[in-house]
Amino acid sequence: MGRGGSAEWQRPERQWRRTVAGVPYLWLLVFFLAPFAIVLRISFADPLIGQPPFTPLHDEAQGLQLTADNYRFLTEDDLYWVSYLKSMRIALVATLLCLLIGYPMAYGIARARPVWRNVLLLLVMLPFWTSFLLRVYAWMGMLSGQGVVNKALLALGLVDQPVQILYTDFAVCLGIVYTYLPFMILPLYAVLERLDGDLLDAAADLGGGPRQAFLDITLPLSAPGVVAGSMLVFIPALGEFVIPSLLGGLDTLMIGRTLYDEFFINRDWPLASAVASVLVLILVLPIVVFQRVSQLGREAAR
Amino acid sequence: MNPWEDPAAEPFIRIKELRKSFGGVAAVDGVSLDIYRGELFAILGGSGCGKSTLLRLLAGFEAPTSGEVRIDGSDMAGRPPFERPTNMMFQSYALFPHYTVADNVAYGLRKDGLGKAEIKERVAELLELVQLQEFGRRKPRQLSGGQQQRVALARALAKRPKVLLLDEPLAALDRNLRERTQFELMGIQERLGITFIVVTHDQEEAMTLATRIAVMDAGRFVQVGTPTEIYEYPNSRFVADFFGTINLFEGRAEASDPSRIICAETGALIHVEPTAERPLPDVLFVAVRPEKIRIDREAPAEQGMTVLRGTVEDMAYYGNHSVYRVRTDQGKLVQVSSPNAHRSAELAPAGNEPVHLSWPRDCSVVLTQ
Repeated sequence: MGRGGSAEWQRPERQWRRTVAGVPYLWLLVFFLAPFAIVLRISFADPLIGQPPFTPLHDEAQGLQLTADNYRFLTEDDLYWVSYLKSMRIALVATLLCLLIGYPMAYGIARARPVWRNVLLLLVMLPFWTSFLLRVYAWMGMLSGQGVVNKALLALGLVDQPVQILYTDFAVCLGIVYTYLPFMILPLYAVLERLDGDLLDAAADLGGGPRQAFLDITLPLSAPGVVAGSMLVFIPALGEFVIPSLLGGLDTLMIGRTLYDEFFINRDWPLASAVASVLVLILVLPIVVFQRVSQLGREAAR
Repeated sequence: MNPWEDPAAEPFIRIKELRKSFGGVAAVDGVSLDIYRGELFAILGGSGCGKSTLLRLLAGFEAPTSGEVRIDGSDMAGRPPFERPTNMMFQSYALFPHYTVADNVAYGLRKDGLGKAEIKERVAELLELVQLQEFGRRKPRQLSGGQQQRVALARALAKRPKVLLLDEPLAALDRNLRERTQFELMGIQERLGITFIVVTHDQEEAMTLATRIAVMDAGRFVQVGTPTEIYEYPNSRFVADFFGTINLFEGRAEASDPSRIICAETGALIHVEPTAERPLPDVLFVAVRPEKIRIDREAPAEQGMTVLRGTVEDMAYYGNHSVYRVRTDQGKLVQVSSPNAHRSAELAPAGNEPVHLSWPRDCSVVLTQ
């Protein structure tokens, strides 16, 4: 068969490939980029009492109407900076805790006998079978003054009277770690499970004990899992709204709550949009850095 | 004299009644073996015969259930891999993918706390030994399979082990590379004087590489000997069958003359050398290698030859030799390998031609198990 013949039957395949590759882009365009463009556009408008509650983009009399007032206001009022920083602190601490708890768990599952692995993985994912909201409510019950945690502490004689656990930053952190731990474990498990046991044997043959082999081989080779898991926890934790509003105290000002308050309590859509836009910027930055780092890693490997 | 034939020679590696079981199943079932300094010893067997477990026991990756391993006079019990005078070359090469070639080779030296300059010098030396001087800064995945294997070899040799353990060293290489690597391995072994223990499932590899071979089956050694001994004097049907092709005849020795064996299936008479092992069991086997059998149109003139008449069923031409499958008049299929000493093919018997198969009595191997 000649070259033309082979191109003939390849054409529909190429079109099909283009279609398949296009679907995620289309999805991204319709459900992320377009809404974000709207939010971005609102963030440059002035608030207005009316429907919709912001000034139009184009005015017959004054032409194009864009204002950076909202962004300026974000820098003027401490509330927003405090919220952003607090969110980042809580998300960072929660991510670190997830890593510290999740790594040994993922390692244990990856090293378990194959028959056990699927059972253990199922147990990790089991909490997802109950509503997320219900589980957070359950934590509220457990952490409250009359909850099991305080009862246990009193019974053990560790405290004289109930401690305030609920409505603290600690409770928020606990809730985030509890909720997002599976997102840390799964990517870590995927990397650790694929780790070639011969590499550890080789390290043991040439180097030192198991600790050496872990530090030299397992840890660096599981770095992609650490990064992926950390992003999967950090990104949603940063914008988390439900957990801080249910478990957090009045001073647990996470950006998700501030955002909610601006939109629904103050009905200041432009300011809320500015808050949201800056949040996206904060989230996109680490992703870009990660992409760059992994690309550099790939280039170095080449 | 070879060291294993010298009763005064001190074995370098002494394996005594070594046993390893996993969940009650013995992978290595009480093996004993002496290996001498500078040997290139092959452990040969099919998959699951326990050969890899044995190698891992020697390396220290597994602890034996019972038994003893002594290397150069000292007991290895309880010694972790890195405190043994052994290093291993893995079948998968097990190169650290995040290290460069040079760092892979240097890994063991760094762990030993050698000075920077010394490490650099040794790494350069080793890379030169495996002819990869130019590749020190590359990552393993940028190398071909053969190059990766040479890195693995250099890394395993870096700590100057007294014993190098090689797990299927040639299995992943293509045919041309295998032969070259094989000779390279032998050359390096000779030059460095290290004792090599090679685990392999490939009998050809074992035969060409090794000074001695241990054939393993179900966790035990079936036969230990030089390649010639094992090929020419197999001690069992398993070994005979494992090493190349062999024709097996089941039969019974004549009571009056045990050097005459009557074939059970065909009734043919097979001449064998009178053996020391007496009395012979009722059922025994005679094994004959295909290349020991002569194929002629005429009956051979010599006396004392085993002669079978048959018809050529088919023939495969390999250039340097041809392989015939001959159906004897009694209905048994016999494989014959015949060198093509002459150029003219017309002289060779062709399909459906009646032929005589014959071999001298010293080519018949009597097997009792």
